[in-house]
Amino acid sequence: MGGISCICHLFLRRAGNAGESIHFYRINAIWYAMKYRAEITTQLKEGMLDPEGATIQRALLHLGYDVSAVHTAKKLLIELEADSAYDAAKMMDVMCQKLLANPVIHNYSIKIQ
Amino acid sequence: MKFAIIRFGGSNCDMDVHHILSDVLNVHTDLVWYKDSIEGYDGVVIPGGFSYGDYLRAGSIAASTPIMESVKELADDGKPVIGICNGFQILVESGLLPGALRTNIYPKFCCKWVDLRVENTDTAFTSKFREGEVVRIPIAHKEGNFFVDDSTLSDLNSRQRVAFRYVDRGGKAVPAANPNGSVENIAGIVNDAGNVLGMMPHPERASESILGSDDGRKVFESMVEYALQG
Repeated sequence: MGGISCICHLFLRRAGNAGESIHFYRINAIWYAMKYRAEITTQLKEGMLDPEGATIQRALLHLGYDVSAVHTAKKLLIELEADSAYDAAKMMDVMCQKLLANPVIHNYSIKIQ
Repeated sequence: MKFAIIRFGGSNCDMDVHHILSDVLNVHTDLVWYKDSIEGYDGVVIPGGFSYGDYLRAGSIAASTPIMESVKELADDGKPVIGICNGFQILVESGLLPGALRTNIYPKFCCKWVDLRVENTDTAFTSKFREGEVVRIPIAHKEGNFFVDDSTLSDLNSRQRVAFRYVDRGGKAVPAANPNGSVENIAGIVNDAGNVLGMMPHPERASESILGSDDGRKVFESMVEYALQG
């Protein structure tokens, strides 16, 4: 797919030069796998004890900041190629269920850019 | 009869288990790299350690390796599979056992001797114990805080799938005896058939009296006897 993307890039540039962008953009829509950036956030489910968050909260209290809660989360930035943002999100959802999150204890969210 | 100890990058209790099985119990045991095959083995040990640096979640990367599919098949054949510490984390992450192992309630690496009560002697790993026996085996982990949802917990209890609980010297599962915040002081569980055990304490570190306790040896003796009966 990477090879095809490159070719399409060339088409796009040439199309711009030659003023035939509509035709080549159609080709682009069919062939070009877009590069997406996914932002995955995994976080302990609500009510699940978060010892790291609780420790940070205590440290903040020691510094004089009276915060009512601290929750920790993990953010993963993943780059991938997919035919559409929807496809990218679907792929990321499967990856979250299989590996990136533990559904027993985590909620996760997916942002596609 | 032969056993396999699976080594992942970062396993570090492999040699201890190998010593107990090979030298103490005189059982043929091989150290098997995770890219190699476990075909033909009569049982599998997934030892403790920090596989893949505990990246993502403890045990999650090792759980996604192809050899875990072979471990599932071996377990489905009724052969004994034990995961110790990081091995237990790998078993829950791969779905061979239910639940999750969260960060300890006091979020620090905890390395100490604990007392355990044997809850069920009708498993591949506990037949040499007496039911209710209190044994002394050490723990060494930061993510050993066992969690399951309420319905799974009642299933574990009703089907007698809890193998060990953290207890005080008198054998009571009180909060003070719970080193990591595990639900109902659970230290180890088995699958429905009783041939897959996951436990946070390290029986291989308590299998010779010179180490301070040889209570853990019964876990391996039970496993060997179970495999012999085929």
